[in-house]
Amino acid sequence: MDFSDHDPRLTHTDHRLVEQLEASAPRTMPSGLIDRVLSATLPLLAESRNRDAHRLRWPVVVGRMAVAAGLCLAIVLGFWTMPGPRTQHDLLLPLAANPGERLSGSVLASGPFAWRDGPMLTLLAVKDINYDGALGDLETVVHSVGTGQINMLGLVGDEGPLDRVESELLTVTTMAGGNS
Amino acid sequence: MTPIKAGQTQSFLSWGLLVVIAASAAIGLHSTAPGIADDDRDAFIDRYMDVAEQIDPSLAGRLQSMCQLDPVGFEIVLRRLGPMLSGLADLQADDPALYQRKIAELHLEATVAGIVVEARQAALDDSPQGVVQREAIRAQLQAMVRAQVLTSIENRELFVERLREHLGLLELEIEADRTDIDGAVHRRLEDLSGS
Repeated sequence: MDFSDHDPRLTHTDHRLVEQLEASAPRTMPSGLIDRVLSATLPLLAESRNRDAHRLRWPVVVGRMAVAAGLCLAIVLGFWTMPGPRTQHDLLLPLAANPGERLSGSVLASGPFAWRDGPMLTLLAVKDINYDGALGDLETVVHSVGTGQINMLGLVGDEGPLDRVESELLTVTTMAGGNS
Repeated sequence: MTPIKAGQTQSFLSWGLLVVIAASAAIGLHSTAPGIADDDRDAFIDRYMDVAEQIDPSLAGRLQSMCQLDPVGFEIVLRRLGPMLSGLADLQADDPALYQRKIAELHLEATVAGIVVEARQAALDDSPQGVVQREAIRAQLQAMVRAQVLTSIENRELFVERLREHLGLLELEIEADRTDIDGAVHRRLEDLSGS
């Protein structure tokens, strides 16, 4: 073995240790000891390695792979079949299909506190829309997007509570006609 | 204490590795699946553009060309700065038939507004030909306004009908909860506990 690239201090320490050992417990290495130890150890290591390899026979490997595939499939199915948040539309569909039917628990799963005002609010909001109002609405959006006002209004990107209040005020101003 | 053999350690590690790989694959696949929220957002923006096209094709074209924002930001802009068109876009999803009737009403209104402009211009022309044209425009305007009023009445009746349907559903819900208060409480508690 070449120790020429080692730190000289380490080599020096090695020498000192060897000297100390020689001084404290002088001994001579029996000739051929290393070969004998190796010849006795290597077959044992090889035997152990063969035993491990023998243990992992094909049926066992296939079995493990099957169990792993089953686990994987179960996890994937679990994710996929996890029920998502139900929309108001989903909740109303069964009712709309048969409004006379006694409501089941599943329909009212979200309980009496789930106020389904989405469609109603939409109806109320849209009922009185006129052409001029809709056109003004569209013009406001196009103007704001076109002039980059949306960045000033903080409508895109993250915003803090104060930014939100400020942007709400600016939004109201813009929608009231103060586009400058 | 029984020392853990190398084979056992290897077995534990291989099982652990398999489980980690399976979980990672599942999470990875799940994260690449398109979210419901994303689909809803894209669908809303598409509907908004459709409504804008019905209101003013040139403005809709400009808006389409400006649509360089991220979908989340663009939806916020449309919802906050364009609540009327957002409402119409929602109505298109909730009740396509009623939406079509409302759009027809708006088209009639726009047509009437155009005829009114023509009538004002014709009123400035005192020539015999101008008088004839003025009468023709007046008759056209009267017919269109009648059609607009009738459409508006029918549409409002439809809106009221839809509102009644929703109120009826709400009453059914309330009645169902009233007859099964324990069940409602149980479901509410399940919601609160997240089970």
